[in-house]
Amino acid sequence: MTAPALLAVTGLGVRFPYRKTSISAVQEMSYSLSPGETLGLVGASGSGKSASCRAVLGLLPAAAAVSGSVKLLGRELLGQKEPILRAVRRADLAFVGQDPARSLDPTMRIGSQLAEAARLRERLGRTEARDRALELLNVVGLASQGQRYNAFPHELSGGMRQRVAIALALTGQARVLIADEPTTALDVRTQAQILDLLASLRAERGMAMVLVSHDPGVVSDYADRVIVMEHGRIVETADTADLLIHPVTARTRRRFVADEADRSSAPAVCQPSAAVAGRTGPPPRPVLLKASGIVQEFSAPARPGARAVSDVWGVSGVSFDIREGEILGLIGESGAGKSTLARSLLFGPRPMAGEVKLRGVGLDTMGAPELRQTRRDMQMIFQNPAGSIDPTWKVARIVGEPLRIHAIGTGRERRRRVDDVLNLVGLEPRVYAGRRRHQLSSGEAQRVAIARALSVSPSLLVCDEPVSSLDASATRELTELLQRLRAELHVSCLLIAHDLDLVSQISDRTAVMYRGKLCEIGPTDAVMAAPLHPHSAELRRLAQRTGRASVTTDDALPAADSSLLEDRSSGCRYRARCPRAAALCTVAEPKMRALADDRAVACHFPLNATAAASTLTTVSPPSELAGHR
Amino acid sequence: MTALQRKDHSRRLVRSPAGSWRNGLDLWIPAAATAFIVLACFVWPLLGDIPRSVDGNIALANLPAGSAGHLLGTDTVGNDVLARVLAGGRVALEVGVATNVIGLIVGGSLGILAAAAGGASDMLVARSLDILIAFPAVVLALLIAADLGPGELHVILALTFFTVPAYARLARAHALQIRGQDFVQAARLSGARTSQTFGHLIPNVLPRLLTFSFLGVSLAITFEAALSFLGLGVVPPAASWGDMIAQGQEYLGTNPGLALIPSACLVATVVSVNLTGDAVRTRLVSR
Repeated sequence: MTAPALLAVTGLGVRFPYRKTSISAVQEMSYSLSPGETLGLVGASGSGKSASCRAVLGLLPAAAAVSGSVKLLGRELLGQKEPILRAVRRADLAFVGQDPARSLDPTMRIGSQLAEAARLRERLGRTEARDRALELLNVVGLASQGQRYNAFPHELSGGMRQRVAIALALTGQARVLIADEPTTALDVRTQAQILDLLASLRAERGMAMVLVSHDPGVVSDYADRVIVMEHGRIVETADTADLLIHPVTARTRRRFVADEADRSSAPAVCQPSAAVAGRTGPPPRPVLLKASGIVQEFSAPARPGARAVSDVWGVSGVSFDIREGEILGLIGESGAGKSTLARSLLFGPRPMAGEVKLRGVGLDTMGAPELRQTRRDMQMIFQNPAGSIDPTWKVARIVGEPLRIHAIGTGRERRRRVDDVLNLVGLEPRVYAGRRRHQLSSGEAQRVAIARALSVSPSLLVCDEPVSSLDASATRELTELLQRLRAELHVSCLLIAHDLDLVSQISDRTAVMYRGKLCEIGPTDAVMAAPLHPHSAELRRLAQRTGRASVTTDDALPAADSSLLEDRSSGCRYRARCPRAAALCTVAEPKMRALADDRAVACHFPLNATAAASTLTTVSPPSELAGHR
Repeated sequence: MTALQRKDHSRRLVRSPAGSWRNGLDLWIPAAATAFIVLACFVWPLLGDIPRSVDGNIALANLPAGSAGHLLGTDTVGNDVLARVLAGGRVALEVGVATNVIGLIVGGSLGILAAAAGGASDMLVARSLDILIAFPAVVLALLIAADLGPGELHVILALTFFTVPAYARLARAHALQIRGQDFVQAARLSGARTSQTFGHLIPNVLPRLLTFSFLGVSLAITFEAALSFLGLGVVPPAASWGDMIAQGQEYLGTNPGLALIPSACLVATVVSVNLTGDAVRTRLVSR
């Protein structure tokens, strides 16, 4: 704090006009940023984090009223004319947004976009700008082959796009980098890579950084100081270390300490909690849904020799059971095929090969009317609650939709049922029944989606990343809700997540997927405590790392998604990233082997082999043979 | 709770800084102008102080503007210019609204049905629309109008060959987009038949079609004027702005008002309808 402030914000206030009055988004916010410092900005969604950043950048809509003072290098920014602000943004401020898909122009090759920025911000000529763009692609860990330079944004995965967005921010010699939730949309592994990249770049260039996040774990790892915001006000400012030890306000304690407690009580640390231990009794429950050899693959790009960088691998031969009343967690990186698998199970669309049996009856043997009838029993909850709710419908109608589809009950009975399920998910019917989507927070919208699914009392809920677009407190509430529903309604649940914490907290069994294949499946405690497949171990390690504690240098910045180019025609798909890969792995594809304690793994050289070696009965489900080329 | 409500508001405001329905001159000025034109054309003549638009006395031909009983003077056959301008406005507005109502209902249903059905029937509808749209609209309307002969009803019929495919294509495109969204997926995965997803498609597509309808009305008004100008639309003794402009251009040197007054009315109508449409769009679509 002795260094002169690079960025000084004093008494910042942002108000948006609403009806005849106005609504305050940020009030009396003051902070300063020294060179080389990273300032974390945390708070629930809607607490004014983004609004304050946009005020600093001068990117708020014209209707917003901004007061206070923002000084960059001693120069007042508020109230400046747009051309001056533009010059400042060009020279001294850089911004990385939450959604890389939106900050890139879909019609321009990424190399050209970078070169354009370099021309504008560094006043380079065309060829120099091209060289600079290639260099920046290198810096952010995207191989500098001409291929990448010429790729369009849609050809890149989310993580790669975010790297491009960071490269864009690195053009010029920005003194301050504002990163607004740079990793919220990404999976754990990519998240760690991007944050490491930001941290190392900051160290190299002596930039100061404002890191906005709703994830306390991210901020506590990477920020020097943390500002906690609530309702547009700063409720706490502290050094990161102090904050974790002595949180001042109750709210902060809830955000951080509860979070830490969740993490440490999770079975990841090898101490099965009482709740978890109680759930996994020896008598296996009867099978509700049996999937065998599910295949759902997408054709390669049409152009011959086109860059095959699609990050969706589909599903190539997956078999597992979901038992009555259990929560089966399914984890894997984004692009592993989790969502594709979920939709294939529900026959939307029908899988290309393999079969799904619900209580012993194959879905593919059913006619269309019978299948529609069966859908009543299996309901889906989508990742993005805003997208799964019709913006023109009111909540009561949305929740009652499945009842109407299946013509259950009279109008009055349906209304009563709607009220019941709304109560069940914790939404007061009198308050919420008449609302529309834009009047719901994302947590409430997700509850509405769950209420809709529950209205017809299904026996299986398929939840596709139900919390990944929610902030920390809404996530916690929803997790509790799912647990309560399982206990009260005995509904089975396939819970898809890239968030290991969630799965390890509430699922009975866990399955791990990698690039269209199942790696491992078994009781959650066992998988978390002693993973058999190297990929499970990797996911667990990454989750622990982003959760808290040290960023070690030995696993700094793995090459970005080079595995996308790997050969998948034979052998183990994980071998390019596997520390234990051997010659056998390039030749033979590992089959799923059932082991003791209800576990199974698809690996030639499983970890913790001593624990597993006792019971090597090689069982390959029929599906494994049917399911692939 | 308060936190959530706050977020709700601020987010909505960030997304649509343009004004609400209640305030905003960008909406109310053009809307008032449009309303004035409609009232002038349909209500003013009923009040009784406007002469008939036909059967004028040839002895009173070519009176200048401001003559007694003839506010804008009379034309070359002695008809009151103001009366004919208002009568022409009625034709223009009737044609504009009728063609678009037909287009919206027929084309909108066709497009939504095609998108919902998918597969071969969707393909068939889409390709037929492409073929219809491939013909230049004015040429198509000319051919049809020439074949049917002049008359307001025939103009409406001819122009629906332009509005129906336009609405159908727009409705199909938006319905396809809505159909791909999770809430329709959710309905389908809950067991909904295709027919049970219309409840999602229609209310989501309709605002887009209504937005387009303002542009559609002004286009149809222009087309009607063009057809009448060429003698294929509304012909005397019925009045039409296009026909008045055609007749009046012979006298541009001696009595420019005969061509300029209906031209000004045409421009004013098209501009105010378009501006109203723009203002409505920012409010409907940014929601």
